[in-house]
Amino acid sequence: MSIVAAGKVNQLALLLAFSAAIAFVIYSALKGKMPEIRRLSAVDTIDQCIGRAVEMGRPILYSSVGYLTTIDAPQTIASFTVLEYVARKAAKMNADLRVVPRYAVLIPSMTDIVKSAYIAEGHPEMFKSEKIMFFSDTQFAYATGMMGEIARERPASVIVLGAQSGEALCTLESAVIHGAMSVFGTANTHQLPWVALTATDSLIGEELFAVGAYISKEPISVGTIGGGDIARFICIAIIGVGALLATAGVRWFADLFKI
Amino acid sequence: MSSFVRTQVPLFVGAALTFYMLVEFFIPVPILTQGGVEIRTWGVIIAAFTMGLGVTTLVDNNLRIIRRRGRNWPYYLYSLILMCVMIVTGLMPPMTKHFVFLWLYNNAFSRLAQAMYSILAFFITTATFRAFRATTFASACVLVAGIFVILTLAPIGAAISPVIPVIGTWVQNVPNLAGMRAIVIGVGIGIVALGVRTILGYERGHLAGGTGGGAT
Repeated sequence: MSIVAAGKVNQLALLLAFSAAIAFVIYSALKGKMPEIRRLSAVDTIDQCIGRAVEMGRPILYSSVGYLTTIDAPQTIASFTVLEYVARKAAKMNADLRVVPRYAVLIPSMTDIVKSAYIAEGHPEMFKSEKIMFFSDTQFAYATGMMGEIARERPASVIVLGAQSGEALCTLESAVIHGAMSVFGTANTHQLPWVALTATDSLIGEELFAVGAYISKEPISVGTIGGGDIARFICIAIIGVGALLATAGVRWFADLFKI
Repeated sequence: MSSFVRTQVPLFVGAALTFYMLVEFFIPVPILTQGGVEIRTWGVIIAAFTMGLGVTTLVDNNLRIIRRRGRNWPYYLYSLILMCVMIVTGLMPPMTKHFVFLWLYNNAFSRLAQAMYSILAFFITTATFRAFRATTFASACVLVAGIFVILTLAPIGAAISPVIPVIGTWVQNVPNLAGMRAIVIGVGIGIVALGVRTILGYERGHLAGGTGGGAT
C-alpha cells in the first residue's frame, strides 16, 4: 500500500518540485542574489488612487472578497496584504478610507488590519469603526450596497480584490459611471475579462498572489516569486514534452499528469 | 497585547495548520483525516459566529446614521426594520419555514436579487462596448475575436457564412482555452508560492501590521 493517497502522487511530485524551486531561489536571495521581479503597474495605480482621493477630498472604497475557509482563502489573504498597504498610505496621507468586507467572517481581520495600520503610522485617532461597513453576505445585496455607496459618496477610487464573481462587474461599472478610478484584482478566471477590460488597472491571476511579496520586498518573499518562474518553466517543459509525445502517439507521459 | 501573542502565535498556528492540512491531503491515515475534518468544522463554526459580528456592525453603523439624522437616514431605518422582521420571522417555529418569512424571502428578497442580477446584462453591454473600441492592436484583436464569437453564438452567424462558426469555435477552443489554462497554471503556482510564504511565516498581511512597513 502506498503512503501517498492513490491518484495524488503526481500532484505531490509537482508540489515538491515547485517547492524545491522556490526554496532554491529563496536560498539564493538570502545569499544576496535577489531575483528581479517586473514592475506591477497596479501598485503604482493604487498609489495614484490614494493620491487622487486626497486631492479630491473624496473617499477610497476598499473591499476584500472571498471566504477564509474555502479555496478562495489565498485570494482573500493576498487582498489583506494590499489592504494593509492602502491603510498605511491612507493614514500617512490623511485619506478617507472606507472598507467593505464582502463576508462577515472578514470583519475582525479587516478591522484589525486598518486599525493597526493607523496605529503604526502614528494616527490612531483617524481610525473610525464606522468606516468598516458591512452590507451583506448575499452576493447581490453586497453588490447593491457597493453600487449605492459609490453612487452616494462618489469615491475618488474603488479598490476591490479577491475571489470575485458577478458582483465585480456591478461594482466596476458603477465606478466607471461615477468617474472613480478602479483597481480590481482576482484569480477567478470567469471574471478576468471584465476585470482586465473595465478597471483602470488590474491584478489578474498570479499577480494577485505576487503583490504581497512585491510590496514587502523581503528576500524570502521575493524568492518565492522567482521560484514560481522556475516552476513555470517546469510546466512549459512538461507541456512541450507531453504535446510532442502525444502527437507521436505515446500517451503514458500525458497520463502521468491525469488527476 | 504583546507582539509575540499578536503576530508570532498566529503565524505559528497558521503555518502549522497549513502544513498539517497539506500532509492530511496527501497521506490517507484515518487519524490525520479525522483531524482535518475537525479543523474544517472549526473553521465553519468560527465563520458562523462572525455572522453575529456582521449584524452588530450593520446595526451599529445604521444606528449612528439614524441618530445624527444623516443623509437618507429613513432608508437606514427601513433597512434595520426589515432586518429585524426577517430575523424574527426566520426564528419563529418552524424555523425559516414560517409563512411570513417565506413570503418575504420569495416575493421580496429573491425578486430583488434577481433584479440586481439582471442588471448585469446591461453592464456587460456597456463594458463590452468600451472594450470593443479598437484603439490599440490588442483591443482590435479583442474586437475581431469578439465579433466572431458573438456571430458564432447567434443564429445569424451561420446564416451569413458557414466559416464564421468554425472561426468562432476555434477562437473559443484554442487561443481562449490556452490563455485561460496558462492563467490557471499561473494561479496554481502563485498559490504554492503564497503557501510557502505562509508556512515560513512571511505572509503577514492578515496579521495587522505584519508586513513590516509595506507602505513607503
